Amino acid sequence: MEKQIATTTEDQPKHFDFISSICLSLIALYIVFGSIKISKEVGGPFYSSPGLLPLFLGCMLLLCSVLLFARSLKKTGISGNISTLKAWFAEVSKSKDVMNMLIGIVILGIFTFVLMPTFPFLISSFIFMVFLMKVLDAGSYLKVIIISACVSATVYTLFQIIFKVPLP
Amino acid sequence: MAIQYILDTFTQLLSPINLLTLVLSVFFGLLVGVLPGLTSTMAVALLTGLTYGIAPETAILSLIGVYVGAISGGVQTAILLNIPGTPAAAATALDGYKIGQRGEAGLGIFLGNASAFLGTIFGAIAVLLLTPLLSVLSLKFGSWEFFLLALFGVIMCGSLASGGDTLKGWISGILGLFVAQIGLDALNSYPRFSYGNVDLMAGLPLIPIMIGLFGFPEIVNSFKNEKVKAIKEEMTYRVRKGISILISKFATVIRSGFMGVGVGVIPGVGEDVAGWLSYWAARVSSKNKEEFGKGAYEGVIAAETGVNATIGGNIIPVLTLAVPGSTSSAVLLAALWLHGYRPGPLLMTETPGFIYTISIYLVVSAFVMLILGLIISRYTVKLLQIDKRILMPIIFVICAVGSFVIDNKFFSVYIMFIFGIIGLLLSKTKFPAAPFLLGVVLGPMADSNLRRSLVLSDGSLAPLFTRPICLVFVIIIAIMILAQFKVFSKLQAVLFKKKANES
Amino acid sequence: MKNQKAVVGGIAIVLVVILAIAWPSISGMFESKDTSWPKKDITVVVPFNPGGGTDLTSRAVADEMSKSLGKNISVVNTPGASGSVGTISVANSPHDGYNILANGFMSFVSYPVMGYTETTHRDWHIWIATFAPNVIATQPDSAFKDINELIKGLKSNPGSVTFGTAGIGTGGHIASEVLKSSLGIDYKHVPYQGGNPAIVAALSGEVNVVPQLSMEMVDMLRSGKLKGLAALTDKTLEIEGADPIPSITEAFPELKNIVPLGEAFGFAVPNDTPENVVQKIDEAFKKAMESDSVKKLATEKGVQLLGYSGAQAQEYVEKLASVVDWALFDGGVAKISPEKFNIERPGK
Repeated sequence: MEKQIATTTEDQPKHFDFISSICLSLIALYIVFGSIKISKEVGGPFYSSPGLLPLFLGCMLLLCSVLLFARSLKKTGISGNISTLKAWFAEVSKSKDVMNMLIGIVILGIFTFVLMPTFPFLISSFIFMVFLMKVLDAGSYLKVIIISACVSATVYTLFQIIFKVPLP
Repeated sequence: MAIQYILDTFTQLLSPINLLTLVLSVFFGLLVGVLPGLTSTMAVALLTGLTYGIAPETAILSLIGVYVGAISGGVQTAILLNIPGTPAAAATALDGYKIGQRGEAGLGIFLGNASAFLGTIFGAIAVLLLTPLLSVLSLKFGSWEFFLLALFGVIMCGSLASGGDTLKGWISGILGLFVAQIGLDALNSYPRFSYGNVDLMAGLPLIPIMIGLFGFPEIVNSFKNEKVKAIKEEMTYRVRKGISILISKFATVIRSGFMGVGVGVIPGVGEDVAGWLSYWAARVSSKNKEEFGKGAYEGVIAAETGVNATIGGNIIPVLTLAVPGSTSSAVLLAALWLHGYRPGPLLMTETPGFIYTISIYLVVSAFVMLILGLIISRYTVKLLQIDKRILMPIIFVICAVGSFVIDNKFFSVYIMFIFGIIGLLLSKTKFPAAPFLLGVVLGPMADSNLRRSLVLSDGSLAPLFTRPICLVFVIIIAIMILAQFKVFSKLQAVLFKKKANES
Repeated sequence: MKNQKAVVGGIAIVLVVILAIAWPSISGMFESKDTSWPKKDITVVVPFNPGGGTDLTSRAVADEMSKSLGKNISVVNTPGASGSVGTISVANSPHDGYNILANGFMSFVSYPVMGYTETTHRDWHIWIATFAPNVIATQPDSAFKDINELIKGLKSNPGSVTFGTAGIGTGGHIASEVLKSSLGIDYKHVPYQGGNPAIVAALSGEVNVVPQLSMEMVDMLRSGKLKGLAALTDKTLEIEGADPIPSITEAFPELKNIVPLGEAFGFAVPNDTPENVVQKIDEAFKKAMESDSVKKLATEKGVQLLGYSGAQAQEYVEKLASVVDWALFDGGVAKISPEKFNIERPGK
């Protein structure tokens, strides 16, 4: 059993297909209903309504995700997929890589949504780079600070002064 | 006559000021192309403002130089980091990144630059010889053809980029097409899926989406704790090897050149489609189809030649009809007007030498681009040796800045982040990102042209089968989809046999 | 060792938080109190794609203005939603004269009734540089040889003659709507994304008629690839190098009160921009209008130079607003009544 899981996760991540096809079908249904609503609101002939192409895309997406769903069931079936997912989830939640990646994403998010809108570019990018490089354990404080300062200054000069595009 | 024009142009070129301008503007263009977020449109527009006061010849030369540079610059980051510097370089990244990971980044960039050079030259020749002929072609494309071209582009890209799993490629393409539908629609100005948000109404910006889809997963993947061995680069690749590869794939170069020029001539269809189209053609006609997507030299050559041949193609309708083939050539058109040229139906009678001037500018820009590109790549390949834990935070800052400068809105940076997450999910679940991007590029074209053509035909689908170009598209699309399902049935047969054997 | 790290980290976080809280007051310190204008480069926002009429006019005029202002003017294109996206972005940026809007005022006055903005032209200081009338044009081998035949064709086959325009709410569409409501005709509207694609569609025969601006089709008219049936002007439109195009009032004198109809290009800044800044822009604008390069643009592109500013510009835009907004509302294109913004119905 264990061996089987390993091979499926490596060669064809079918349990991903299983879960993503379910999510995609939900999105597709949302698109279909949304575009029908649009067509109703705008009125006029259906063929020129703004809802036409979204509706078409929604239907196609639904079709494709149903095909994908069927394919993911072919060998393993629903219960098989769920048990693989469970095993995968247990494995992933313990993995250090995943934790690191999640922490990294959070830091990127902080830079995007908090630091950049509040500070001028030179300061925000400097703080962000020092912080992230330190978290990733890229080197001593001195090294990290020097690199970050240089990069901030270079990017600033390049964009603001040479290309004349305003930075935050 | 022709020789006189050519001589005139060359004597102009030889003045030190013009030579310096040429080198500087091509360098500027390459830089813009390398940095994700700065586009060729932006570069040409920026330079138009700067060159307003100087002599027209110098100004036009610098604009052509920056245009050529910006289109070809995207290859560097595509091969080194899998982050295309321009949307058009996404097709290059498909094979180019694999080449780079093999330790042949230098060779890959050489091939990319050299094919970009050949593509540009091909475009220049087309401008010189085929302008009257091709300007007719640009009128043959009506609304139906545009819609089918968009559809074909996404379907083709879906089957190319998916690494064998076409269904997922298509899903990704459909998602991209849908994302492009968000915002005020082009015909009725109805806010689709925008929930009263002004930023959403304006539509989602393309470049931040591209940066997010491609850059973000690379950055996040570097956070893994495992020590990835830095890729050893063969520093001394042999130029001779590169050239011999190019010569052996010369048929691909010619074919891609034709496709690039053809796509460029069609107004409103840009470099991205050309890149994918020539990649597709190269793969279809190749004997080693399975190599594509795994680091085939031919993939890079096809994509880059095609992308750069569009420059010449784009310029043709600008010169003869004053109708730009892409947004960057639209800016070029505006610049020509500002400098007192009158591109359009009168150009050939008023200033017959101008076509020669432009083609020669293209050729010299291509030469400068090739040389500068190779010099730059000596330094850029070293990027691969930098510790990813230092490189990636820097790349993210550049990605964020690149998204911001598109329209000076933080919203674009948020979009970059959100599509970054989407890109990460796509890559983890093995959905290709390239069809998604092409879907976003072609979405508006598909939408407005489909509805426009239905308005014209009062809702009838008959023109699909009565217009010759349409019919060709319909047949190709049908074959592509049917071929896909045949593969399914074959797979099924194989699977059933296995099961039968097992039991 | 571990403790030390935590302490350093803690200090860093505290520092960042303090900076974040104190930033608004610190940043104030760096801003000088000097009121001379312009101290830095100026941005002109063109809310349409490059190469269009607004872009071309504003680049030419802005360049001349930058000469007399002594600072660079960079032109930025932010297209979207008939130009309202760029307009809103200028309205939302500081009203200090460093962000100037360039626009075509025909679409500009339609924003409130189309529901794009809550503000009207009365909230802006306006300068009008040039005027490009609409020209009703067809292919030279079209079945409609003159404007009378076209209108007859429109009346006998309501809703089947196709008009290709630059999109809903743009100059060409508004002109067609005005014709529709004042002549009682019905046409099939085929919107494109921009004037150029619409003109190409007319060239290739995809649409029957293109009612776009003279400026956009001037070289097509000169080379005879398109034929101008009528211009929405009060007298015959003369374009250097092309056949004169008769005014529409020659065939339909009842249209006297709606002509001249066309796009007026120019600049605008929000009303509450400091007086001295408005003064400076005004001077630079007037000087630019006198310059040779702007005059050359006008003859080449077949547009009229207006050079209105202040009350004259405001009055012009007011009249434009009443014609355009009511035509859009009566035609069912605009959903919001111009009455809501106290825009009067044009006098008959």
